[in-house]
Amino acid sequence: MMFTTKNVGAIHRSGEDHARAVCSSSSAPASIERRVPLTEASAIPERIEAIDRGRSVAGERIRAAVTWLFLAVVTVLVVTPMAAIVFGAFRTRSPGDPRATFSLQSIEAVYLGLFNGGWTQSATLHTVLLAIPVTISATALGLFLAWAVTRTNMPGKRWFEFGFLLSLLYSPLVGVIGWTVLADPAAGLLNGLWSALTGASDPLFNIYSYGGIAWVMIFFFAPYAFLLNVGGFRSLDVTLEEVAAVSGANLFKRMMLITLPVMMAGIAAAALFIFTLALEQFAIPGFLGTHVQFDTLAYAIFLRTNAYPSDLPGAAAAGTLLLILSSIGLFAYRRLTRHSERFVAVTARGYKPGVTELGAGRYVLFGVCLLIFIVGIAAPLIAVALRALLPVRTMTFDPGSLTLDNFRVLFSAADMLLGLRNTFYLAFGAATACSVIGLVVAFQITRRKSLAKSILDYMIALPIGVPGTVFGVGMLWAYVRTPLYLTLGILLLAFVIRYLVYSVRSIGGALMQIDKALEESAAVAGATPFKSFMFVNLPLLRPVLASAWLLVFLIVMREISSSIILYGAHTVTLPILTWNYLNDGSYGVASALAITQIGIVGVVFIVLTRFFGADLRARAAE
Amino acid sequence: MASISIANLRKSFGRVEVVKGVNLRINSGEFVTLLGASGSGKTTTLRMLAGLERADSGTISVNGSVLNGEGNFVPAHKRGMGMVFQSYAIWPHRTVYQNVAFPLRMKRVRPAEERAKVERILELVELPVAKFGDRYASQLSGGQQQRVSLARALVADPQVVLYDEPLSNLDARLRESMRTLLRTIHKETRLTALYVTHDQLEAMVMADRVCVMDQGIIVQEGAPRDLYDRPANQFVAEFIGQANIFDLSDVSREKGAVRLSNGISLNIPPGNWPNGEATRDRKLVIRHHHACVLTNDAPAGADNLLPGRIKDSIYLGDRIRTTLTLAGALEFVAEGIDGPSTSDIGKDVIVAVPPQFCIVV
Ligand SMILES: Nc1ncnc2c1ncn2[C@@H]1O[C@H](COP(=O)(O)OP(=O)(O)OP(=O)(O)O)[C@@H](O)[C@H]1O
Ligand SMILES: [Mg+2]
Repeated sequence: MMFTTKNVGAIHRSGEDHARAVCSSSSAPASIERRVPLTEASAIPERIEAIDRGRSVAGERIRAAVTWLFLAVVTVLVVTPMAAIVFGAFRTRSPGDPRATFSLQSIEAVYLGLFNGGWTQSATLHTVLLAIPVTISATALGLFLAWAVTRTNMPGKRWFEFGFLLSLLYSPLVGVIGWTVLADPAAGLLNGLWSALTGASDPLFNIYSYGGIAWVMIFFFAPYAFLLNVGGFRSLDVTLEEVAAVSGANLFKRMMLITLPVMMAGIAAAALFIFTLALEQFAIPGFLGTHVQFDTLAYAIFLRTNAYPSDLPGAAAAGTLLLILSSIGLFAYRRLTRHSERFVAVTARGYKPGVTELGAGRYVLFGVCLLIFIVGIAAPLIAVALRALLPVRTMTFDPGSLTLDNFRVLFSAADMLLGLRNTFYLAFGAATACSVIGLVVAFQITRRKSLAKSILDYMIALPIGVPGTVFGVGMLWAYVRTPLYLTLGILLLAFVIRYLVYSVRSIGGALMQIDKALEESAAVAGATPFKSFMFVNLPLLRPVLASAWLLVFLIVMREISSSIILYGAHTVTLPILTWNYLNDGSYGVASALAITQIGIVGVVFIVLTRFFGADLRARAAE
Repeated sequence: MASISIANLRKSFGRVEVVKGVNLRINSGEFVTLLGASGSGKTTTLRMLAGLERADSGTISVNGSVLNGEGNFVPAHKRGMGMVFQSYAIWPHRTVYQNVAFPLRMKRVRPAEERAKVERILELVELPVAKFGDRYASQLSGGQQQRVSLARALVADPQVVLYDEPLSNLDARLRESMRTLLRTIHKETRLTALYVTHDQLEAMVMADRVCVMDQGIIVQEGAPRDLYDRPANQFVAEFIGQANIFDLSDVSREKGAVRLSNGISLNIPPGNWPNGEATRDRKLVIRHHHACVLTNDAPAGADNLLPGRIKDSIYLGDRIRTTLTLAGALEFVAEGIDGPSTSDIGKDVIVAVPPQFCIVV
């Protein structure tokens, strides 16, 4: 267990495990794990303690006070939007309206509406019908790919490992545009190809359908399950499988009886992560579903905040419903990983990655993975790129008609530069703030436990289980009457509160692995705590900091669920612009924007991984 | 019960060949240890026998049926073996009972029989079901985990049991008692076993036969006593027990004598010569405790006397280790229950080495 905050609260625990799986990055450098035994340091622990004690009598109090102060601030920031959403659900009118009173009308509309055909009925049904199968399929697909890449002798593994992570670089709208271009029933390229080949007049695919929405979501989320389980497969003690093999279990039985159950904590964390994302995902079902009246809760909430006049109490009340759904996910997660603590104590040292020799099967597996890559990632990406270069939507492809017009339109739009600047401020700001605050908090939490630190740890993890849409509505209710409203500040605040936990977890995980003797030897050598931090910890933490920074950067660059509720005319971001272009029917410009964004994110990604040693692949739940 | 025969087994990882033609026969019911330094290829050999690694060439057969040969590879789960790993490899998500019962479930043994077998085997490893059956690995000590692992390897009456340094993670006292337990179990069951270790004492205590492995080949095999008394080469002499090893300037088998580099000649009885003709690079091996430092005059008619000067003397409790300098600056170590004391340092003495303890390799 990385953090011991037992008995703090069931929901929190889940969030915590979840975060641990999501964030305990594998990028702790080898040098951290190679613990250096320092005989001088261990020979005089009493002396160190004595020094420590002498120094800390006064310092201890100050430090405790700082921790409590920090805790108070974090608690207020985290709890406010949550409390606001509950408060809002019981109001009759928008915040600040003098005629607003308390009433149950919104709550009734939302909850009774579930049974008597209210606006939440079909939305809730659709949300659940979408979230559960998508979570299961995306998790299974991601797991399969992670296994293929880490534990088999399939050719081209390294290449695939990179390829399957590509979709982390772009927003869900890329899948939406790509699949619209490919599988629009009237004008999709695939459908065009199909009728050209067969002469059939009925389209082969229709992306504006339940199946189409689920399809796009599955491929968009599967890379998360992949990312979160690659490390798990790598760090699994393979002798556990080998002894099962010797005991008579074939590959399938080993997988079902040993490998997957042992990795259950990590798998369940990935599933929970995807489930929450599926609940808050409004762009994919929102865009593809409007054509067929397929609404979801997240989208319906967005509409309530976006319509004129807006219905913020209704949005808040529905937000509580979405929150309940995500809590059910947390509950399921808790059931699945009930016993995972006992897995921790038994890890052997020095195992090597066990690769299953597949014989000719490796080529079959290669084919399957290639197909998944093409269908899930390459095809929609190419379709978007193509669309960006085409002036109008066509069912056929004529190389002569390629132009850069869409990019020209895009870059001459005033919004574009504004959005670019805003997104950059937000992504750099949130990533930097999360890394710096994360470093401070992680340092406080990991070294020396106290009640305040446990609660702090808990508070920081709390927003994890909250769907972005709900968080957005909460922030709206809480800050709508403050000057913060409609500024970049509210977006930045929302992002920092939501994503701080990621950096705290990854940095904390790495800090735990740094042998205290390293610091102590620096202290014995005469370094002040600050110097020893700069000299010992910071260099060791650099790749972890880079990874945490990159993770938050990537998430913010593509965030749309809560920003769509909080943005204003001057605070548009790139994903929101893409969304708006798309809804205006400017597919070409939206595509050009999506491609531009992929380019920008790609450059940052390469710089961070190449020059700062960032590595997003998470280690399994430890 | 099964006999194993391994012929000319080879395995490379990348360009490095780590097993370079191992030949080994294990008779039915025999307990053989594979002893060797770290990195000598013991684990790799064992894993090929288990089916966890595919051999590059050579054959492995059990009871005459080929498990790994030309175009033929029986995977691990079809070999019916039991294996104990150094890291225990207890499945953390299963209880002790479920861990042990797993091989039986794979064989589709009836529930009643499964229960009986698991209970019996857990009794044998001194982890009664009533007390330990429902525990998880994290609730067991290292020694208990290793006993679960042992029970799991033995429960399904495997043809062969394989051990890869099963005791090396345990502390000295526990290792001793586990060793005794293992011996008892194997005396009782007479299962065919291959036991990998790098601890020479363990190898000798446990085994009917010890195979010494060095750099991918088996350099000598035999009963523990044979290996100790008649090492086949310098590696075995040094790896098992401690010995003085001398270069020889003259070797004459006909005369039954060798000459050390300092000109002193020693008699070697006919039985102490190696097989084979080559006379170059022969070495003389004399175990530390086979030499006797004579502080008084040598008895009349004694053979193989080496004059030297005492350089150091260390009291080790149960014996005394004396380091001497012989003519020609050769160093010699002798150990005995009695010997010179520190006050004797610098004295000139005679070391007597009975000819039967002088071995040419
Ligand atoms: N999967 C592998 N890939 C590459 N090299 C390997 C692999 N397994 C073993 N080796 C190498 O083969 C050599 C022999 O390894 P092996 O594990 O058989 O040694 P060992 O005799 O069991 O040593 P030890 O006593 O340390 O366990 C070593 O140099 C090792 O590094
Ligand atoms: Mg080994």
